[in-house]
Amino acid sequence: MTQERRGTEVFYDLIVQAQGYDDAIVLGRGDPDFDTPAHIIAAAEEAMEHRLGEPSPPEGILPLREAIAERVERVNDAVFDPETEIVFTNGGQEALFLMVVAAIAEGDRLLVPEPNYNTYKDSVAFARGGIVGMPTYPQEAFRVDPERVRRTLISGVRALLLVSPNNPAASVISREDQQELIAIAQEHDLLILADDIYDLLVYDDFSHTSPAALRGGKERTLTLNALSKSYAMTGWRTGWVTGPADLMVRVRDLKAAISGPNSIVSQYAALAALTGPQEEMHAMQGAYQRRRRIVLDHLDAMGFSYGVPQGGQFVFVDVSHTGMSSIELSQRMLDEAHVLAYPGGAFYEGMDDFLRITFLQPEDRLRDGLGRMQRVMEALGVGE
Amino acid sequence: MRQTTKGRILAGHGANTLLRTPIIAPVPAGPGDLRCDQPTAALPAAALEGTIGALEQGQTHYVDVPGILPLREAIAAGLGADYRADAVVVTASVQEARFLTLQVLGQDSGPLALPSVVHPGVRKALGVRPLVHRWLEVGDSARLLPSVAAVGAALASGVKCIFLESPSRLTGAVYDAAEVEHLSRLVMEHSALVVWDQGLSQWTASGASLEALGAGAERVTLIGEVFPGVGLEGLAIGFIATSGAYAASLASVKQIVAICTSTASQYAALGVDESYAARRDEIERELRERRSRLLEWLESIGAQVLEGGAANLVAVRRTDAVSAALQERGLAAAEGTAFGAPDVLRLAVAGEVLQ
Ligand SMILES: Cc1ncc(COP(=O)(O)O)c(C=O)c1O
Repeated sequence: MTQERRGTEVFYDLIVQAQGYDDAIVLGRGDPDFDTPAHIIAAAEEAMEHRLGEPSPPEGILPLREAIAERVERVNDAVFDPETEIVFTNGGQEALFLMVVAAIAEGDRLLVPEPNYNTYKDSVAFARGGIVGMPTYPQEAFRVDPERVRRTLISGVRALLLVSPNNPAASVISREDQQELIAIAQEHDLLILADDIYDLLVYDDFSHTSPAALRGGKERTLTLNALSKSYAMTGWRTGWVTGPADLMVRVRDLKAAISGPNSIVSQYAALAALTGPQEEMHAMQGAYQRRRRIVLDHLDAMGFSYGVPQGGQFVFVDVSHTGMSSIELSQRMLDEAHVLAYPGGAFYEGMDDFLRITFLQPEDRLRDGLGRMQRVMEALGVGE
Repeated sequence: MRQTTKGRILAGHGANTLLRTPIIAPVPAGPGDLRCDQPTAALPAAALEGTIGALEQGQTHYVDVPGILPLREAIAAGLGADYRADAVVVTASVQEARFLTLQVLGQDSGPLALPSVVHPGVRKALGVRPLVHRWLEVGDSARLLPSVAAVGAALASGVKCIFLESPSRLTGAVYDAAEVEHLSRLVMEHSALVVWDQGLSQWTASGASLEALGAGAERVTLIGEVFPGVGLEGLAIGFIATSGAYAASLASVKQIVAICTSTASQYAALGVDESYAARRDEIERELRERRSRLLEWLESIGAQVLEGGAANLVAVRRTDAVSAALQERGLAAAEGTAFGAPDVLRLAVAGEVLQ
């Protein structure tokens, strides 16, 4: 990847190109193919009819923050006071931006296990801070190795980023590693920025642990989550930050400064998602499990190696044997097969041997997309 | 003892008076709450139906970062020929538009100058990240707008980006045609950029607004609420209208901040578009009637009213008598302190409270 082109720009460029093909199969962007469940839309309708005049503080209405507190306690085993420790945001993205700007001042550094979601780099650049990238490796299942974190710490690092399940590598940080990472944060006086956006999407025997739930974690951790991925609500902009009350004062002021209260309609939609029937969400989880299997079987048949996705909605596939850079290969897939998969090199320079393939398409389209990719590979002389 | 990371962050936050500026809620807390910027009404039924229809048809996914095209077209159409849909960015509130324009244009095109009396949201947005800026004094003009001379002096001293509100968010006062002309000339002469919050312009009798500036989109970036006054207030939707030169960098930071604006809010705004002009006229008439009753009452209690042209608000000098009279009626006014004018109170013309 050329240094001057941001990874995010590479992705948006590919999205626009894919929009030019009627038959494109998009396995790129992290936008679930499912539409938002009907009962959530019904709640939005109710709010538009009866609640548009209802005021909201910048952090969101209290019933919503209470529902978030309940969810976070139930799923993540971490306790937050809805009055002072939760801020509702325009998606996980605004939550991410708030966490970074709250924690990183000019000249400060954020330690980022790589590869990672690009907006962390973009937000740190906005804050005029710096990134200290720490590679993770496919042969270690992209583990965030606490010892390596310790060795990577240099002066000026103020915070440690922990995205689990990770995007794009789909690795999950174990409870033991989380506890060890907290110990390192304590020793070195670091804050932790935790991204739990994929916490409901973990596979096999893996389980998600929130650093805020562990001993010594809460007081130094800001955590984001969102309904975008798990409830198919990307268009609603529904996310949140949780953290200790002292830091959350700052997050709340930043939220008021950046956008003020969220749309009341999105807030009631989020409330319905959290407190209403969960069957559809569970059905989507089940679908992702099945699709993941389909993708992995296909990749096995094609002779690819990959980081076994422990969580998330994507597979990070090793394409080194093609001899092409990930950006070239992804362009070729789009041009020749009209299949969009994100190049690993646009996440992190060191990941130019990887493509990220999402499983956010119905099974038949997924099979079709993988079949088309296989044909491109065969044409390249690297297929089975 | 060395300060901890958290201690340092909290100390910095405590010292950041800009970021801690109290804010104004977009929707009133009750009938006596006269603090809001915009009036609000019931959303037209067609807008509601259109929105639900769009959501039911699957408009529940990410959309283009700068907003859905038909809405950008509708916004551009209301702004005159110089503003094009492809240089409109839909934002999640006028506050997000303030934040983006100040932090992106104020940074890239700065140094930046702003009125010393300005909406609290401006100070707040300025506090997110340090930015070289200076204040334009408003002198003792009863309008509380910076004089054209003050703008000229700032430009002469090297300022490259000016943030202005006309109508003023505090008094509702506007620059007159001659002043706008003069401003336009200054801006061109100095190749400067103006960010012009014209969110209250719907409530002024058509007169001098900055769209009339010969300078055009190349020099004047407009921000405001999308179709204010007709029920979108709780849906948090604003806009930036700029030129091709700045649209990409604004959209790029919009992507970093929020990816895109809620589709429900965008479709609701789109649904309002068709009936807006007629509805706006009706609301403005109603506001004017109510405003004159409010003025009568203010006169009866001996309040000193500031000069202003917007139908939706009245600014008065703060006196003990005014404060007592407001309190007696259970009315809450916006505090001028947060605008940088501690001796002023702002009353929104809204609701039935004064009938
Ligand atoms: C790791 C991670 N965090 C945050 C986000 C932001 O998601 P949203 O703003 O749609 O909730 C994403 C989106 O792809 C992500 O992958």
